[in-house]
Amino acid sequence: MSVVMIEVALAIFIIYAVAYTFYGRKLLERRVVRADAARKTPAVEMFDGVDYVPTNKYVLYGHHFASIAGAGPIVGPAIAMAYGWFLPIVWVLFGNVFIGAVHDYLALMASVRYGGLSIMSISENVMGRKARYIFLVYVYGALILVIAAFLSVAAAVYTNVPSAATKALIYMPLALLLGILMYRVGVNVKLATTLTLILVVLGFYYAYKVPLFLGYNKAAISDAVSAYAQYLSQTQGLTMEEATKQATLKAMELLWVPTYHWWVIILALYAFVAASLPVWYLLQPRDYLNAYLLWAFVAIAGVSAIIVFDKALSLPAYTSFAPKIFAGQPTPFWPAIPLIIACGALSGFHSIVASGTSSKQLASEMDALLVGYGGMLTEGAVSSLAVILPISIAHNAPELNNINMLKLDAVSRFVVGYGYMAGSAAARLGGDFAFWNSVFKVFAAIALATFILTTLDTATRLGRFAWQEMFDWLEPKNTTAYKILTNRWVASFLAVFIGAVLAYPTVVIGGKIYGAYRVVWPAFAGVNQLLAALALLTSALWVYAILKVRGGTAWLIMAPAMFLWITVTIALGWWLVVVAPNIPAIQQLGSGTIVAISLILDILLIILFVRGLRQASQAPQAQPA
Amino acid sequence: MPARQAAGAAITVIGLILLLYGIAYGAVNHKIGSYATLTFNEKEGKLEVAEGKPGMMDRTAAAIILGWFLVLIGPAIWQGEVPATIKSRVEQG
Repeated sequence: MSVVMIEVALAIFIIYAVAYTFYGRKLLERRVVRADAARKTPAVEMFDGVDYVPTNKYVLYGHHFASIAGAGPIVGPAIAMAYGWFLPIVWVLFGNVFIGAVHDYLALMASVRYGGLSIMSISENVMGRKARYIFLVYVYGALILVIAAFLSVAAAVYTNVPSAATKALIYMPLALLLGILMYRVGVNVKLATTLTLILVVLGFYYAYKVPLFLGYNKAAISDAVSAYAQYLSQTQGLTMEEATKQATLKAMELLWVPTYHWWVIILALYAFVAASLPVWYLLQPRDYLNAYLLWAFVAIAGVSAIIVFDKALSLPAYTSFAPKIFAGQPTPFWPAIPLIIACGALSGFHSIVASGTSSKQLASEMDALLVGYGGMLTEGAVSSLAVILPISIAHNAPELNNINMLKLDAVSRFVVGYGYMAGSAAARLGGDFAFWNSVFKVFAAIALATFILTTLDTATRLGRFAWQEMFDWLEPKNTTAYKILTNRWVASFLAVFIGAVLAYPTVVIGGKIYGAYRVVWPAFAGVNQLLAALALLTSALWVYAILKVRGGTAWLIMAPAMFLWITVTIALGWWLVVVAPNIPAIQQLGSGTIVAISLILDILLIILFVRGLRQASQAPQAQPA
Repeated sequence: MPARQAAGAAITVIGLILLLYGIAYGAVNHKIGSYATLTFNEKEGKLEVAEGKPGMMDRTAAAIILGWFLVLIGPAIWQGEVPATIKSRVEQG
């Protein structure tokens, strides 16, 4: 029996609507957190005009989503399609509603109740001071890795796709212009938005036509690479595939690497500046603009799903419980799935954003559900409606020459699938499929690239916060040293500098050139999801010990937290035993060490959690004001 | 106008000029910046740079990138204080 688009899309719409209304609003907001519009948020109470600034909830929703999105909700589900479409969609929906959105919302609200402190520092109140510093050091390390990764990915994107660089150079000043028009000139919000959006569209068109080169143009070296590959094949008896790989590597070492280095430096400078400037100046107007792109992206997917309602999901619903995903090894759906699908279902990075930048900008507790819970459900909608379903209907599509979607890499699966679904919908409305297919493919690629810089500068700002919170003990002992160490420019510089040091050098792994961060990157999925488990455990303990929620409601949070912790801990062990021996030696050393350290910290923190839980049962604490 | 604001205004104006110059140059030439090319040296059996220099940043590319940074920083120095619209939002609670 074939399943058609509308059946799954409807189920997704209904599940999200029910989850938001009942699980989110009625349970989490009213019974667990007891959000109160009259209670002042840190953004209002601790307003400093730099990090603590009350913000319109839709603007904050845009910031939160753009920061937590990155490439995560797209790449992970696209890779997970190796299981077929059913298991990934079940994990996205289940993980989203019961774990990810709960995790994000509670981290946000816990931070709001503790003056905008990070979830790591909040752990002190329920698990003790040791937990706080272990957690902060661990998260700081993870954030440095994120900064390095996004510096490297963005630098590689701007080197390979020079139009994307032009787009970034046009987009940021336009975001500034919007902020100036609204905040300074006093132009009506609608008029300012309309004007800026028109300029953004013109800017996109300009960028498409005018690439920005810093010494490298892929198209200009293809003839020389082909000739060299031919030569290598003939003289060294290599297959053409192997010869092309070697020739490309040589060409990239000659021309690609110097351009990549330029972009790492430029983007590191950008991240340093953007993370140190006040949030209302660049971050808020930019993320307000991002929100329009995001809504357009999700809305096109949702409307297209309705228009092409009768298209069959031609990708098999189920292929195997353990297809070969990590390092060519059979990868069992459980426990490995959180290492594959992160942001679309749940991600530890979200708790740092929620309790970092978002909690310091929340104008009212009543806005938190939309930002924290709603933002996460939107990520799930991206994963299910804009990634999993389009890939499933594009598989074997006659218009795409019966393409086998599983043979494409993850990003191509997404771009081709999104272009196909939206293009088919446009064709049903009388448009030309080929034209609209290519338009929406470009749009999908732009949507993916847009959030890279947002995540980069938000991660830098979060790194600054984590660093500042790490040194609170120094303030009473040596105020001058504390002030210097936690100065926002100094703290941002340190985070960016270490990130850039990891991104700037290049290494060759498996015949391809990467930023040096790649040596430890395979460990990141595990580090990130372990962080999610620990953040959710901290939130669950906060709900139990501080908010005094008991009975079934407490279990609705505690049980998913325990499930996630067990799953991720076993997944990390599995990764060390099965995957690590099959990855290149340099990554074995780098990533293996990080995963092993993570497991040790994992055990330490769970001991502190159990102790905190026991203490909470015996000696209840007072609820913070 | 205090010195700080004057410096901010000057940085913004210079940044805008550089940015607009880069954009106009790109519109006319259909690209900003330049790139090196490679050739295959059959005699020696290796790839060589044919034209340009690896990692070269020409004047136009440098101008638009510098202009971009100045435009990001300039207004913050020029109009550094928190806008009244935000302050009033805080005062209203």
